[in-house]
Amino acid sequence: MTTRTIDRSTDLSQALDKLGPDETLKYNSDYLRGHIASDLLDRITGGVTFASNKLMKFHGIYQQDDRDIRDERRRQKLEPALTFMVRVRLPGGVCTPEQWLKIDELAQTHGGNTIRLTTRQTFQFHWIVKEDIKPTIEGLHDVLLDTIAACGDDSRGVMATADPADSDIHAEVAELSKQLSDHVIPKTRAYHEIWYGEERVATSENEEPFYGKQYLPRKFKIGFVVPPSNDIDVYTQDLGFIAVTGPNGIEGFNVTIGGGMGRTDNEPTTYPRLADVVGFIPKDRLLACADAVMGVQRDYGNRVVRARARFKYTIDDKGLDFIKSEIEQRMGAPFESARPFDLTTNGDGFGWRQTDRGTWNYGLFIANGRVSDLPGRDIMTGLREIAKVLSGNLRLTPNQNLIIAGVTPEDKPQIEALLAKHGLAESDKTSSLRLNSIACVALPTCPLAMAEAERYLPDLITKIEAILEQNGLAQEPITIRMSGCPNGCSRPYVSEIALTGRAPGKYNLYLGGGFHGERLNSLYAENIGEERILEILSEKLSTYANERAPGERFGDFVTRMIDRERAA
Amino acid sequence: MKFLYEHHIVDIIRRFPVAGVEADSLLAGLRPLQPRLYSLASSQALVGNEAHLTVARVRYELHGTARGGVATTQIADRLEMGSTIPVYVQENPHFRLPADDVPIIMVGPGTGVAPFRAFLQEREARAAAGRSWLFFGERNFRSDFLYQVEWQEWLDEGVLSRLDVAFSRDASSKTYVQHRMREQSRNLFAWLEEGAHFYVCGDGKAMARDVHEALIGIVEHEGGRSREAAEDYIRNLAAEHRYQRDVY
Repeated sequence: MTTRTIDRSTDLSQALDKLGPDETLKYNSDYLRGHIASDLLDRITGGVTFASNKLMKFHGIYQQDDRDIRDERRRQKLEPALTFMVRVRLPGGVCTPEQWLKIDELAQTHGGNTIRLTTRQTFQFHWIVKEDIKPTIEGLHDVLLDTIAACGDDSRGVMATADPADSDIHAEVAELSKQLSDHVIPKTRAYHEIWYGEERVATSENEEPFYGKQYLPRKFKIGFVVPPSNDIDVYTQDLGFIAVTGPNGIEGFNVTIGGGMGRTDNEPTTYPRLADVVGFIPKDRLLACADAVMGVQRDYGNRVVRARARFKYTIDDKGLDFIKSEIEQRMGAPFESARPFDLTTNGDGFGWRQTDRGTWNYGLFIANGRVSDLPGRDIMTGLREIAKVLSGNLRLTPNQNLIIAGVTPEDKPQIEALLAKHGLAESDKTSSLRLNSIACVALPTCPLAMAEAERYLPDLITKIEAILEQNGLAQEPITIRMSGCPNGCSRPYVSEIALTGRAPGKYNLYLGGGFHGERLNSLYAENIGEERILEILSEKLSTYANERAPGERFGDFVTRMIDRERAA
Repeated sequence: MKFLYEHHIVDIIRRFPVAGVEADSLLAGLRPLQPRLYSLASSQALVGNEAHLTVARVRYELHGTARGGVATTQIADRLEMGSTIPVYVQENPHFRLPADDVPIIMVGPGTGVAPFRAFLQEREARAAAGRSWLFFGERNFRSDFLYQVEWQEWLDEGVLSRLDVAFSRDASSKTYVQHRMREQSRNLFAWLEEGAHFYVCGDGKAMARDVHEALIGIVEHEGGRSREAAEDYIRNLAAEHRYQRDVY
């Protein structure tokens, strides 16, 4: 037997001065307090200092600016139009009508009258000015919501399949995602002191028994999936739990580790990675397993090079076998062999579906998760009216759509009437491509964006729809995802067609992701504009229409074609 | 007088048209426009062969039509880039920086901030050691924070020691520079006691009076003086050229 020596030169065992600057910043932050409170009172700027900006991410808040007017303001000798994005923690994407109404009210008062449903099943407010952050967070607190760890080097919002066929399974998985989220968020009182104005209580206790002063090397994403749906794209999560169910509900989970979409532009050592299935755990070992996996990443993750700090690189650097055995040791039990499972799609269902409880769920398509009032489609007003009368709940899907759930047969006509009144009925009567599309927010607020996404993808899809129409593919479900930068918030690298921004109007085109997120796509063309994108897609789609095998998905077909081209 | 204040020549002619007066003869009968005086917002020590002005476009409505200030809209709207206009320098010997090591307090809301930008440019160029404190006010933080990024840089570099701002239209209760002065009364009095020069520039009607009142109040309160003694204190500052105003 050979013992492999594990390189510890980049991890938590090293002194701070050997590690990247973020580690010192976190260490010296007094458990995420830093100077946030005093920066909030600084009237000279609408923003906060560099350090506070980093720390506020752990509180679910990002400083952004309106990039559309950045140059104009520079000429005016004004700082950028700084505002904040505030992201809610909403485990499993489930929210009560009361919570929805509060979110809606806060968006009207502080958030530019718009709400963004995200690819991780939560709400984002944009356009919040500095002095309105506190009232926003206090408002959320009124309905038992918070923004803890919605961003930052910690475990972010926990996802869960939005609409499994079995209602009891959904209830259970939603509850587990809430329990797990509560378990893995930072425990510092900094959040309560800064945002709720609570007094600091002197304590000798360790404020972060799990995380310590340096938290994780980078963000960490967890999700639950209930087969056959793979709506959360479990293979893109750092830690995934695939529910295994039996006659008495959830028996346990197949555990996946090491997925991640992000890559850094011009950093060839960064790449998207699909998660590995490492085995099965019984349900009662869930929290122990999460602790063990996160503990391994905390202790071994790369804290020198931030671009290489995600768990997926830790696994590739140290070896899957080592990581797995380290997890097992910490968990106090080995993984059992994985149970069979079958995932079929990462898309959502739309329209009415009667559940096993006799109530009705309505899948509402919301283009790119943007809730606002559009001409002929009063999404924001309509959902407000619906939330006022709904006795069930609302669920945000990982594809940025919404499920109006638990509608009683008696209430159904009323909900239907409200949907129709606000132009929301038949929201799914559009091409399958559009229904299976995701775009991230990108311009004008995201500081990382290099190109448009949310504001552009709908127009591009209209042009692709014409091509689909010509080829008789209008009802063929094909996934398309666009991100404004290579980081991949819209999970582009598992999409059948993906575009990631490189420069204004220029994208990298990826083709051939698996329809249910089981295969990464590959880079097909770099830095191309709309004309070239449409040319390529036109060619690929017409060949697909003519030459595909029965039932063959576009991603599978195009992968086969590309392999053939490259072999030739 | 009120009538003349509310009626420009064009309004009078519209209201009382006189037959037989042609445009040429009307113009011949009018006096040339008076020159407009602007504070320089720059120091040649820093910007070389340039002179910067801070010009707020005057816009208002009168008798149902939109009007614009003659000089400000000429500069901001009608002059083309690269065109020339006649100018002259009118020196103001009563509004000058003190020695480099003397602290200065500057109150300059709106375009009144112009000379203080020049002061700080000068102090930056001279690497002056004296502390400096600016009170600035305008309507909205987002759109009206004149030279915001320059003050921020000067704060970072230490050229500007303190900056207090008041934006009157951002909150429900209107806040002006004199409110910020009162909030900082202890510090402000301490600066005066340490020999600071106090400058005010801008609107002479309301602002300068309110700032003057605030100053007396601060000396009264922080210095433990009677109203009369506080007024004496301020008069004395002026006599020592430590209280200088450029108001219009």
